[in-house]
Amino acid sequence: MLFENLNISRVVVHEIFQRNEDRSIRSPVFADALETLSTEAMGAFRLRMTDALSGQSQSLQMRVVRYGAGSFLELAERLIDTSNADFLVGSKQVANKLAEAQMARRIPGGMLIVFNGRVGAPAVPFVGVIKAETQAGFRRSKDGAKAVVEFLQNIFLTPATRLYKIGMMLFDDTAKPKPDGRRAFVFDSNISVSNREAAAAYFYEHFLGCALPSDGPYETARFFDLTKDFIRKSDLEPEKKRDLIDSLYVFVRDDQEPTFTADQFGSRYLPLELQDTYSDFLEAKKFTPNAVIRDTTKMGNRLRRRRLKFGGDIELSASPEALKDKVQIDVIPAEDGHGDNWTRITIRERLTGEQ
Amino acid sequence: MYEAWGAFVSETLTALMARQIHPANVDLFFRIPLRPRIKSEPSLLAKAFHRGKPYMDPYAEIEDKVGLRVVVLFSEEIREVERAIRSSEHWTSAKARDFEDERAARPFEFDYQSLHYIVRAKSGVNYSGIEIEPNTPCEIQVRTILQHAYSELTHDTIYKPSIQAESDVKRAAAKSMALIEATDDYFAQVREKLERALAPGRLIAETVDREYRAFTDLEPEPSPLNTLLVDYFRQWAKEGFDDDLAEFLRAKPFLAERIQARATELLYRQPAVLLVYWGIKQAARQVPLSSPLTDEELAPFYSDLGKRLPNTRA
Repeated sequence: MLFENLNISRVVVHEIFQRNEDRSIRSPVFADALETLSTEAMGAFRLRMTDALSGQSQSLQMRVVRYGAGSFLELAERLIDTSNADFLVGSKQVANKLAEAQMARRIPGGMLIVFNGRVGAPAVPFVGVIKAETQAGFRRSKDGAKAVVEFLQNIFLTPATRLYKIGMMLFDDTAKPKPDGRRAFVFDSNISVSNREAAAAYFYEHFLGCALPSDGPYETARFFDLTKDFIRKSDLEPEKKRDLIDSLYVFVRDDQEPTFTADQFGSRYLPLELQDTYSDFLEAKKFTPNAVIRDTTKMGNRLRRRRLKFGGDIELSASPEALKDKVQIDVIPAEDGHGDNWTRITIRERLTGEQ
Repeated sequence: MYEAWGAFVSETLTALMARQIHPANVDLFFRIPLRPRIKSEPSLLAKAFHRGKPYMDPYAEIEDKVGLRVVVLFSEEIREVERAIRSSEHWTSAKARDFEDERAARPFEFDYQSLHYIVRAKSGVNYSGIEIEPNTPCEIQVRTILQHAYSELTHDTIYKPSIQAESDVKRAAAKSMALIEATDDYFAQVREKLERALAPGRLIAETVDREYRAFTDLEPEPSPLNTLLVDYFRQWAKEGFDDDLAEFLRAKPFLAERIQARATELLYRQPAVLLVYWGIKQAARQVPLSSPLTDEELAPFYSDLGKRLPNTRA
């Protein structure tokens, strides 16, 4: 999903708090009116959204699993076509829901921004929420003729993405029975950091009623195959191709982060001049620009053996580790004087048998 | 009245020329600002008596009582000015001198060169409240800056009958005119080569100018920034760019609102902003590498397209 043509019509900001010491809920402080943002402020707000939700970031499309009365989906859906007064009232229910979902004391408070509008081309209605933790910072300003430095304790939505989480519910077709016709996207930097997933659960699960997508194994395998195909068909030198495929194995199999995006692989490993072609290639193959749950359980043999081909009918098969540690492949000039190069393979093992 | 007529001719000609060479700047096209000149009475009388021509009524018959001089850079541009002179509906025009005809008639001579027109007011011309008498003449001299230099050198000296120039002075002047004509040929070559080098960029600039108007309903205000943007972003405008861009904008009509909302900034009044969007669409990762725009300036373009500026601090 490309979050272009993002138009925000109503914004309201409530404040929620850490739980009290006895773990009871401390009531949110509600806004008493909708916010009016200047063109500049709105531009910055949109910028934060697209930064977090774009392909280069780790936003995930999630499954909506709770959609009955009192669920986030149901509360949000009621906000789409309401009057401003009802929007304000409804958004307070959303704030209460987040306060309830923050069960542990270690979860910090922050600003809850509830907003709605339309997004995409063609545009569809959405309701979004941002939980933004506050930061402290300095500001320099003029007080009369004198420049003074002020200390500000409550700034939020700075470009530091780890300090906010976004939930977006898109309503493609509300005539369909829930949860069909609705799509949920979540951005939370905690999801993509290994061992921090639990820290993210209260937001996407208890608050938004979503679950991690179940297509991780399928999408991971698809990513692997498509990328391999792309590298193979590129016009890089054979040695460079082999290096890139090495990197692909490592990226898919060994990286510890629970999610990945295709863009991560592209910007980390591909030469710059191929990065845009790569993202166009995946777009044409309809591979998601959003994050994917890294799951190699269904990849079977594909990650265990590598097969290199030489000419028409010579193959070398090895595990990726053995290939890396015990096999050396060099290109040498052909000795028969004909055009094509030859290959010299050094295997640091003795021949032990034949299949 | 002559003053008013001269000012009228000058302003009308400037407007005609501006329309003809749009979007180039007419103030740069005229190498010397147009300024109508009135012949003072003594010089008028001198002319009437000294030319040996029988003027019955020097005030009506001498055609350059008010004159205008147009100086351009290239000799081809002289013909463009001629076209503008002949296109006005406020006057009738008659050619008085044409250096090309004179060259053809006397191929061995190198002498004063200029194109002279006499324009005469039609009835009903009024300039800031002053009625211009029909048939009032005004002489327009059109020449290149090189021809102008020659004429400045020799004016009031060897052509006025009161001075009979020595033949070696005349010879030196003729040599310089010959050199000027040759130089003009070289100028034309330089111009042609420059145009060829600039042509692709200019075509793209014209395309974005046209699309910008149609797409945003805004009047573009191209500044040097526009050229800078075109020069950098045109690397992503490949063959068929006209159609590609039109289709891209049709698919993303919402970009018009974004541009309109930010039109208070000079950047968004540059037609080349369309090219910025196009470049990001084509090569999101390569655009920022040596872009003339800063990251802060580029980020909103990415955001509008639902993307994130690569390699920014997170």
